Amino acid sequence: MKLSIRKTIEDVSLAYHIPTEVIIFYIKHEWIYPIDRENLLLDEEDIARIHLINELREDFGVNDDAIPIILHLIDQLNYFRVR
Amino acid sequence: MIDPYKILGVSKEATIDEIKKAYRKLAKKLHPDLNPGKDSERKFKDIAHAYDLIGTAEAKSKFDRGETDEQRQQEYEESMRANTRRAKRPSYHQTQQNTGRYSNVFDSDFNTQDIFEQFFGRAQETSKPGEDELYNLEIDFKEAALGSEKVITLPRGKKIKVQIPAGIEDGQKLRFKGLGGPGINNGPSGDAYVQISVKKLSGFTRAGQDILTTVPVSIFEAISGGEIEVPTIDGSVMLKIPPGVNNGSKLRISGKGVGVENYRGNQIVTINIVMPKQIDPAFKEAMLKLSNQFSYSARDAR
Repeated sequence: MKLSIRKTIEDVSLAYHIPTEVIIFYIKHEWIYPIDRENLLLDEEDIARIHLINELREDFGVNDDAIPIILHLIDQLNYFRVR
Repeated sequence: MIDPYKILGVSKEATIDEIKKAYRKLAKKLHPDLNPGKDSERKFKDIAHAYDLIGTAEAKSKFDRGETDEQRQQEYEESMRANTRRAKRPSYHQTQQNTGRYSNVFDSDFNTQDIFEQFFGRAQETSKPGEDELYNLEIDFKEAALGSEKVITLPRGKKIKVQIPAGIEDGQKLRFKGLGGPGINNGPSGDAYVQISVKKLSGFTRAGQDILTTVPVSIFEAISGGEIEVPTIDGSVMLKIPPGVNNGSKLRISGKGVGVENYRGNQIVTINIVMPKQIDPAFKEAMLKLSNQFSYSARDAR
């Protein structure tokens, strides 16, 4: 059992120059499931996933409808990679 | 010092748009989350860094003037030396390598299973509880009535002690949480159910807490009364028959029924008067004499 970091949306926003609205937008779309939903705290997985979504949207020009599909396929891919 | 133009495969005169296009093209090919491979991670970092250096008009002019952000360059090179991980951005697929929440627990709102089926025609990736398993255990009538303890071995070798409660009915199931089929992808194990089948015991039936039996008696025993031997689940006992007992009368033997000690039901014994197999002429004659002397009406209301 490893302990992982917990960061507020504001902390993540400051640390990585990502507007808080963007993070909240991802959470609202359920692309990000904060590790602590009650207090809206993010862990390393959440943060890495936010970066991934940013790259998909900004660098690759993926539209928002396709984001969840790609995320899920990536999750499947990772799942099978681990197995 | 790296050459971002070379890495992105564009000329120094390329427009920001062209650089962006070149970067996107390469990024799609090399993004470590989309392209599992040893090299993609490092290559992706290179192109991401190159893009950072010349991806915007401001950065590009800075770079072209040779004023590249030294600190950024250094930071990048240090992080490359330290390990393959890009310091600035945690790598998503690395967070998913062991117990990634996202890759193990799939979103239920968005039906991944359907998508997966569309692509691969089968679904087996979700975490599922193991199947419940049903076993049959045959026990004796007496064990069911009085309760007992049995050790059974499940197919996977696990031995479980089964406490059979007194008075268990045929077909009842006992549940053993978590001893069923193993969960799929870390899902919880299913439950094991042991269904009880109670072996028949000739002459004995159960009615709640009571055990019902029938005892045949001769007409002489029925008239004279007396003690007769009656089987119970604890062995034979002597049952006192009152004189003149009727066919179908029910006699009670207390404490020989179903249940735990001191709280057992009763055995209810039904009298079944049995005629002689053959009526001997002398017997018939004797009875005729008796009936003249002691006649009674069997059909009057009593």
